Amino acid sequence: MATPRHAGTTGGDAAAGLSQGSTILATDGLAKRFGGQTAVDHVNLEVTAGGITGVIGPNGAGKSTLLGLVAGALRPDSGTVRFLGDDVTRLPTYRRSRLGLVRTFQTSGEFARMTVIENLLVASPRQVGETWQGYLLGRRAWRRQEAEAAERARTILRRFSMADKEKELAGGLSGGQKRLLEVMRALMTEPAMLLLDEPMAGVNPSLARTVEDHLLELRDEGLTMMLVEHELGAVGRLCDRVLVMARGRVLAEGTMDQLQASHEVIDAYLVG
Amino acid sequence: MSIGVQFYLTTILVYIGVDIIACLGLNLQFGVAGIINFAFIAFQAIGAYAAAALALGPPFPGDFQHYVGFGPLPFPLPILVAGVAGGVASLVVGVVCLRRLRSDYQAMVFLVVSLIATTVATNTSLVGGAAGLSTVPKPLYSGLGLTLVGYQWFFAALTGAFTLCVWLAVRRITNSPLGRALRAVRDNEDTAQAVGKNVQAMRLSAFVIGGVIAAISGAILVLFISAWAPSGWLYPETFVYFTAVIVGGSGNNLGAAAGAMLVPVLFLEGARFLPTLVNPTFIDGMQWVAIGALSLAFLWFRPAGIFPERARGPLTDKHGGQIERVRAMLVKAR
Repeated sequence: MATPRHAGTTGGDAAAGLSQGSTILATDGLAKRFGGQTAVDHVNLEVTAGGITGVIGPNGAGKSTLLGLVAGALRPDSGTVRFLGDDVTRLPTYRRSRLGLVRTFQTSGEFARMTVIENLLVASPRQVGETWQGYLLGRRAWRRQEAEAAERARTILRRFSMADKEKELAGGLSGGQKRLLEVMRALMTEPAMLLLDEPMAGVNPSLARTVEDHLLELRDEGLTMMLVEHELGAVGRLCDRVLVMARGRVLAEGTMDQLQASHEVIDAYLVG
Repeated sequence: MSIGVQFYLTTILVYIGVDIIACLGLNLQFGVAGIINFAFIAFQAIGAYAAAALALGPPFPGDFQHYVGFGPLPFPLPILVAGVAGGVASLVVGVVCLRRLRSDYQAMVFLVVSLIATTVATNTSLVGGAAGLSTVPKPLYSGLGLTLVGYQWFFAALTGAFTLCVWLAVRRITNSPLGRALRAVRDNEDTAQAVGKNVQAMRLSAFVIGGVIAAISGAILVLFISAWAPSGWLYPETFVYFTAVIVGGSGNNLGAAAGAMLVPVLFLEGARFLPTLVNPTFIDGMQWVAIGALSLAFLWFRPAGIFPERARGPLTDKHGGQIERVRAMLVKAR
């Protein structure tokens, strides 16, 4: 079954034609040390297209470091990252993002002095107006593309019930609204896969449920996601498959129900 | 209007134009792209020296000043080549300083670059040493056959034309998706990378364009005053331009232009009219104190400046949404 493209949100060219269930992301022996501390210890993982893969574990388990390695923010000491079949280990973050592997941030990553709609527009991919060629040719070279991007941004804003915030500065949004903005901005890049770093952190329970609902909708539309999250209830509701990390290693994997019955996992959480 | 007043007025107009050009360049680097370039004045100096050397031509045997000269080139080539020199110098400095360092460390490195540039210019005969370059010929002076005052007005108009060109060129960047991407890089480097922006390349581009503009401002100034020496572009001069951009409103071209008129021209020039109650050098010294205090006052009480960066929407409207906003206001008023 082909991955459905969902309304105005996804579908990097590379993701087109990717079938559900095929491998979209794979790491092989991925390792990272900080000084004498091993943060990620030879992690092999495979993420299949079209679902939400959760990554859980106690503090210091290496979840965010793993996300950083996959997104390209950190350079691994050893191992490889393959995305859509290509080795992207040496690619910087912005090149991985252009391929469709896009991350969100645990702390607020908004462009604070820009309006909400600008935060979305800037993420629109392949903008002619951002190039020097576009600069020389002037407005007529990018006006149409800008209008299309604005329409898409407004569709996303309406979808997340944030249309009334369009003209507000992103720095003035509440914590919960900033979390939504993170997801909306990532969607604007037309991702093939989203890497979500604690999207519910610091969000009130009602808004957290809203974020969850949106993520489920996106999953149903075929977007692949990898979710690092502390709130196990949310992981249980959202994720088809969950990896448990402890001391930089993948300790266990399975559905949340399977993991909750695992003594190894319970020990890891209780003992740390 | 007396000749003296006309001289004073035209001189002020040229300085306003030069400072607006410089502030537009710094605003692009600092206000739009978030680069704290504490070596800004050095790029203005590079433009000034390049234009002076190209207008003078190589020194003749027994010349009282020693420098490396080429040409002489006819107007406007000294200004244009000076811009290229500023761009090349910015590219070299930018490649070294903008990579790997966080912005606060970049600021320190730029300050060091400024000090190195002054030391090299002062202690070598590359650009005339501590005495600098003088007797730089005024462009088109003999060809136009104008009176001295007439030429002053001509130069003021010429500066105005260059200011307009730089204004339009910078506005074309800031009112485009390119300017928006630069502001995104300024606001959050990590997020900008996460949405596919090549942060290093974008910063370097803004730095080079800003360097070209700084050099053009220096080139115009040296052709007007006919002399340039290291004592005129010591590192504190950079802070005058920073204060101008902060006071006017960083990230806003109008703010940068207003700041250029208020701080380097009105604020510093105004001090000239203060009564000399104490040692005459006291006023000069106090100017620096006043510049620092002005900068601090704005950072504390009005960090966005007199003309804050405006909130923008999609760039689909020709005037960046201004017409839509005026229309909406009129409808509301009705």
